[in-house]
Amino acid sequence: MLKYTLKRMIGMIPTLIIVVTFVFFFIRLIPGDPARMIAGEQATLEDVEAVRENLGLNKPIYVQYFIYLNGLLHGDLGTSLRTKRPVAQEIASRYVNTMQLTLASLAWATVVGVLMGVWSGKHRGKWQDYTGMTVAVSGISVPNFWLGFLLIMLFAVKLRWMPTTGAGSWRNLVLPAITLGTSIAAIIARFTRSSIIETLKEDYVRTARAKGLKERAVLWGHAFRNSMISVVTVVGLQFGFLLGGSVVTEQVFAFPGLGSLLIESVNYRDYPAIQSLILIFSLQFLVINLLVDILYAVLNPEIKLS
Amino acid sequence: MESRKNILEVKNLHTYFHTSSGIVRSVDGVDFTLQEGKTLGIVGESGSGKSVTALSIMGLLDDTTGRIEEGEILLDGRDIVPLSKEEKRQIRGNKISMIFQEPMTSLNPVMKIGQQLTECILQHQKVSKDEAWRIAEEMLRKTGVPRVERMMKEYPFQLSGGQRQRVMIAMALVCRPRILIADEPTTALDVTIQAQILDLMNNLKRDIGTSTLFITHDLGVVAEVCDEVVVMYCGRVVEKADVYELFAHPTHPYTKGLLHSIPKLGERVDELEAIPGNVPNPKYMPAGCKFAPRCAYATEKCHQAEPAFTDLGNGHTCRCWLCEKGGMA
Amino acid sequence: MSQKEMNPKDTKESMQNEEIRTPVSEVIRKFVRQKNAVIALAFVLLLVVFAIIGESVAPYGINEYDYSCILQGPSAAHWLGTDEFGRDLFSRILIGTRISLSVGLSAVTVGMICGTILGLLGGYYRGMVDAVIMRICDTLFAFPGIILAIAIVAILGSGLGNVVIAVAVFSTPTFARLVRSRTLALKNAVFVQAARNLGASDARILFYHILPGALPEIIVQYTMSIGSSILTASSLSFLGMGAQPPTPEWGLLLSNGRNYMMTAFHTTLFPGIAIFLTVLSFNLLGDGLRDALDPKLTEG
Repeated sequence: MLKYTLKRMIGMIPTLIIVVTFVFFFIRLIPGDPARMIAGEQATLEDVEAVRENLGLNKPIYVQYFIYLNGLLHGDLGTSLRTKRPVAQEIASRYVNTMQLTLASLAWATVVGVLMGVWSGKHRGKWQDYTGMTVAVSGISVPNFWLGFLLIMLFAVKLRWMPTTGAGSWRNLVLPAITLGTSIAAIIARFTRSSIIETLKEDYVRTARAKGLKERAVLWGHAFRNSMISVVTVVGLQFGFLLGGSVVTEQVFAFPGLGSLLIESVNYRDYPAIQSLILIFSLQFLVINLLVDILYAVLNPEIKLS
Repeated sequence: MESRKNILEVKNLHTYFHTSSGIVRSVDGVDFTLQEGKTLGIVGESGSGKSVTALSIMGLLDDTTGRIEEGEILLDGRDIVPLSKEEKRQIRGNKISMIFQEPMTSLNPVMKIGQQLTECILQHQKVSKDEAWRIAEEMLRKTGVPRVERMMKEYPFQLSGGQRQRVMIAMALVCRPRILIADEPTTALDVTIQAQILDLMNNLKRDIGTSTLFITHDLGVVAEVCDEVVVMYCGRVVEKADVYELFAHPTHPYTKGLLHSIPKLGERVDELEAIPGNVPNPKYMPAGCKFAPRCAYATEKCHQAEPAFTDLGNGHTCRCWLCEKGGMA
Repeated sequence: MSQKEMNPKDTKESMQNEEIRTPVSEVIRKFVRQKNAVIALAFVLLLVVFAIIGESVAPYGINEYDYSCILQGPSAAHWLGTDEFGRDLFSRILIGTRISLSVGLSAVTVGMICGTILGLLGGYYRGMVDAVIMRICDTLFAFPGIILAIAIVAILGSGLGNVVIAVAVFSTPTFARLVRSRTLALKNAVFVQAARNLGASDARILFYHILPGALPEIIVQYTMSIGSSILTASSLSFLGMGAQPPTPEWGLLLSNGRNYMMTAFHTTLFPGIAIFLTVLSFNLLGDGLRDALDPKLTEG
């Protein structure tokens, strides 16, 4: 198990290097003179030179790359052009909010999605299945920013149960988490359903029935755990979707997280911040995928014991 | 012939599958009787309805489109067809249990062997977990596997195919059922292991006092384990006899065909005879004798009307026009 | 194609038994049985019609200002109400159909063509080509979709054209992986081996023998991707990175409407319904096609 985990971590290294390299070249892909773009149209020649100096753009590219890597290893993500503060600090102050939002969304989406999927799969072709799958296909089709506004209108403006915007208490998390989690719950439900249907056709499920086990024991004891092995992979992939969705959701609820920081930075053309945020988002995605691989092994004794 | 108690009687069983393109009559009027302590073989090609017969007896048709349309299945004289789902569930694994063809996929890959063995006991008997564990270990030991204690804590992927089938046998017998249905239990195994598993089943059957319904396409296996044989073709029984009688005097052309297609030990054969043609599409059955299109002796009559059973004496019956007019063929 | 050549032997036997069903009519039969998918197809066709003739049937022009009736709710004169400049919302949504559909379609089409070619090459030639292609796909997968799109838009600048590029880039690896795995499976199929033994060129094998085998899955993925691409594109416009005012792009209409959410909620509500129904119908259509094309899903 430890060996497997290590192997997975080592396997991530090439992707990690490519991602970091990609992000490094990102700032250099801006058409024209990056320093001029960053400094702005009204900037004087001195301003542009100052930016160039500041970002180290006047040095040879391999030196720049080395400086960048060295900075990363020391937790230095550069200085924000917008706030003139270290980007690392900016990110740190927003990180917790986004983490809370994504985890809350993922938690409810997984529970609801899995239960709905099992329910639909168990009653394949009956009204329960049609209901569940109609809800699910609607869930993946609804624009989450629109859903967010509907929720604000209903629960914050009309019913006044929840605050409209902001962060800080759990009440601020409820509506954004519903907004963000809906499509994930729907995707998990659809996948769980087909996985359960496939698993229920397996020979060992027939064996379990032949033993005279109660249908509930057959479903949860034999079919469920096996179908979860493929479901966790999907949940992991959806996490990326969730990170992306958080950008939109945070914008709707004026939620001070990484997503809204990204939008602010893009609007301000704050390239060091954009660069670091993209890096953070993809690192998080990679870490989640590692966790998924480990969870996959925990569920699968053949990998766990090898 | 000694008279024994009939433990299982199948009478006029019809099991049909309802598909969107029509009804498939997988089992279409099957009768047979299993006597206490005996082994009854059901022989036929794939598609003959032998496995569907087994699933009908087990009450495992629920998640298919199949239904028992007509007929009775008497377990100790009581018809189990009209029972509720819950009552059928209580019989399964307890009074009637089943071993399947594929030992590699019939065990749950993420559950330990011990747990898979004990859950059956805990479902049907009022015993503690420790007691169930002890019963399971004892049964597993009887199947002759090595290092029982360790195997109880292992996963199926850690066992060989033969070991898995022994586990399957232990699992089927752990509640000491009245009837064991074995559906091609040795087909997926190596020939050397096949013989061991057959021996084991014979021994355990005697030990526990279970009667067996042995489903196979392999007449060699039938000769080894069965007391009586039912030959099925296209959802019907075509011939029924004592095992010695059947091998000595096969009467139905289909049975003869099956016997000719197995090599005999010590006999030099240049060519094995295969039965020409294929099993007909179940949606488009021939009007007369179902075997007529493949039968070398078929006459005009065979194509037009289906023969009834002819009693050949000694419990030997056969469904063929040839034996009807000519008596013993 | 290859199926037709292989069939005659079988048909002789099955002729007496059942009417011959060609694969295409079988797929159509299975598709038509699914009511949801048929309705979705009808709706998609309706959208296509709107996209083509929207401008000539819309009751008002997209930039027809009328300051005498700003932010009014639905009425006989303005079916879906008006916006802050008194422009007719129904006309703007109707004409905007063309933008949303063409952004979704063009982005996914580009992504599908690139992904399919990469997948065929990787799966067929393996080795270095495959390793490089798959490594690029892995890297693209390491960035969450919208984040990647935002990154690309941040480099190239806002605008619908750049949104199309961004969405095309992140839909490419999905197609590449899908086609690659089908190619790996089909590469050793008997009919492909036979074609190779008969001296068919690699290009012929890839496009005449392997590609048709991967087609059903590509079609399903294509349909589903159009839905999600329309969602992504409208999200980017909502974030201010896609279409710019006064383009009647649905995401932008919605983003604009939220400034008046408290007083005129219809400006937020209706563009959202348009996006929702469009994406929903593409997803239902995709589901229907998958069920109709999937040979694994047997009847009953």
